[in-house]
Amino acid sequence: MDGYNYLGRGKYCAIYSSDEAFDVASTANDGEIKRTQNILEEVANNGFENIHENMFKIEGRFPSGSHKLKDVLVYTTKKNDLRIYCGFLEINGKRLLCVEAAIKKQNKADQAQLKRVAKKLGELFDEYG
Amino acid sequence: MNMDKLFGKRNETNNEAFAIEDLVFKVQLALQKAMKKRGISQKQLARRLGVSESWVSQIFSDSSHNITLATIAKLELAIGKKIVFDDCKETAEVQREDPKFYIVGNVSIPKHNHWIEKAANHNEVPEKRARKHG
Repeated sequence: MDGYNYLGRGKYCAIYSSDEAFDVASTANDGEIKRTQNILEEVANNGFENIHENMFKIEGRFPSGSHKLKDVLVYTTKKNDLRIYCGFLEINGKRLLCVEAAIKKQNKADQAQLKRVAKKLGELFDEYG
Repeated sequence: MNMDKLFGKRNETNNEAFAIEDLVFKVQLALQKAMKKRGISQKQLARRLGVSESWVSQIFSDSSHNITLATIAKLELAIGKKIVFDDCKETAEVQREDPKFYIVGNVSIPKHNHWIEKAANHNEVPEKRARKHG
């Protein structure tokens, strides 16, 4: 997938990150980076059943704009100010795609960003799904 | 899996922050797994502990670095399940002779090289002493 980096694969899914999310996440502090890594590794290996919503949260279902995929669930990893917005797609197996990241001061999710992430996931599914 | 590409390798400058995050995450995950296994919700756990639900939620937050061993023990009692932090490659066990409780932590001691805690007045050779006083 153009613009996406393969990060790794576990029993549950593979993880990919966009260049954009990569650039933002790399500006976070060490604690934020490590915690996010742990969350993503747990999701890749075991899914998110055992992860508290304070760490990995379902933000909601948003229209993807795709003909093949009506709505998509957008998830967020959370550690202090670092958020990574992601979603699962079935593209040659289950993939968690980290679409965007943000360094936020507010706890409340930016609805426009969540909708944008869902649209990007829809575009990816149209192209590769 | 290796996410060093995005998240960077552990080095001298981030070693401490990485170690703290690893342990906190491991404890939080173990508690969450234990709650799931026992079918205990956050609300039920709060009721058992006599605390607010937001206090329990705080344990799983990203700012719960100062969770004490006493708190972990209380949570373990309230959940009614042994909390085992066992998802590390190199493990060591600190085990009582009566192993009702143990912690497996990320310490580089071979798994089978058990360090058994003993009381200061523990009798190493009871038979010998028995003969001497007998």
